[in-house]
Amino acid sequence: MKTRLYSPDIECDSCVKVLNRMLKKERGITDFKITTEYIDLSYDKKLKLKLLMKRIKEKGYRVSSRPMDRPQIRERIGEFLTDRKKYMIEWRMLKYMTVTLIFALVLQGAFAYMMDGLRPGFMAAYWPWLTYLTFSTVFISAAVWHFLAYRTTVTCMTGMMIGMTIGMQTGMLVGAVLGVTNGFFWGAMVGMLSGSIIGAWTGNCCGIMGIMEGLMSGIMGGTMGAMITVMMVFDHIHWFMPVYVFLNLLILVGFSYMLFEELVEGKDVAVKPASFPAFLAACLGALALLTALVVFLPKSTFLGV
Amino acid sequence: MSHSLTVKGMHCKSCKMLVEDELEDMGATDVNVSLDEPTQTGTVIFNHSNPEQVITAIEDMNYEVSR
Repeated sequence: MKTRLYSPDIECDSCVKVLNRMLKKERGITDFKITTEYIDLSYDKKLKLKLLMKRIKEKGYRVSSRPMDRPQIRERIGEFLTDRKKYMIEWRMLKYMTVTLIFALVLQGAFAYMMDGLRPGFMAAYWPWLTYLTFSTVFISAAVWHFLAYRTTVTCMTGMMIGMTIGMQTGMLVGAVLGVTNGFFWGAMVGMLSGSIIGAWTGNCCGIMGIMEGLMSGIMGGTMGAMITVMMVFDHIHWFMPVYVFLNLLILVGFSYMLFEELVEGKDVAVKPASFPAFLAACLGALALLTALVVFLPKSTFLGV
Repeated sequence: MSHSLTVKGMHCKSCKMLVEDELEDMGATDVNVSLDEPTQTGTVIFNHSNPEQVITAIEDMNYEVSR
């Protein structure tokens, strides 16, 4: 009988030698060949294939009778939590994000408090929307920082996905907040422009296809984000918005996961992350600009202050 | 008697396993292999009546051994 077993963990000559020694001792194996992708086995009835696979797993190599190029999400998360060296950039991203988020929320709180003195009712009316804007800006900035940290070439498909995701999520989040605070026109305009600019910039990594994808998704995301919240503004918007923002931020987390899978895993990629002061300055600069637009552009009738 | 060797060229967990398996097959006891991945260097501690034979076996696996 013959079979092929797949293991994504056979990475080097030593892995091959370890398995080679192991299989030589197994009863029932008449012939075998090990490569860095699979193990071809010829065996007779004496071999219990499931037991063999169990023993290979006990050695630390995942194995399956079907191709498994990548770890499952659960395995990846487990690895992420235990192997800080491999995921150094991702852990750094989380650290930068957390510190920046706390700092930005404190600044936004102070700003809202100060504005409340000038315009009574400002805090109650604007605080939730400024908070959504803060979360959105920090998450988008972190996703872009993560992408820029890896200096590598990308395929057209991946580049399009990068431009599209960043453009779409920027448009959806910014457009939604400004839709509520400033009405459909300004929400769509600011959402569309910010989404298109950042989408085209990040999509540029793979050339014109990525740029077009970034532009299109910015237009779609910005107009849709504003449209959704304007349509929902008098219908449970305060219940809708946390769910909407959470799901959009979840997509950005998924984006970073995808980025690692496509650009980093199994490849020799140059790493050059931007420093924390640069990240903080870019993040707070973008947030200050968006906050100014929210506060000083013509306001929607919903807020009433 | 316990012996200690420094083995250069060990870069991963499989190298560690490979050395451990080889020593156990040779009848070494109290085998302890630790690995320092950044310097690609392993420290091998074991009991064996003929340590020279162990050194030759590790060198045959293309690692550089020093006492």
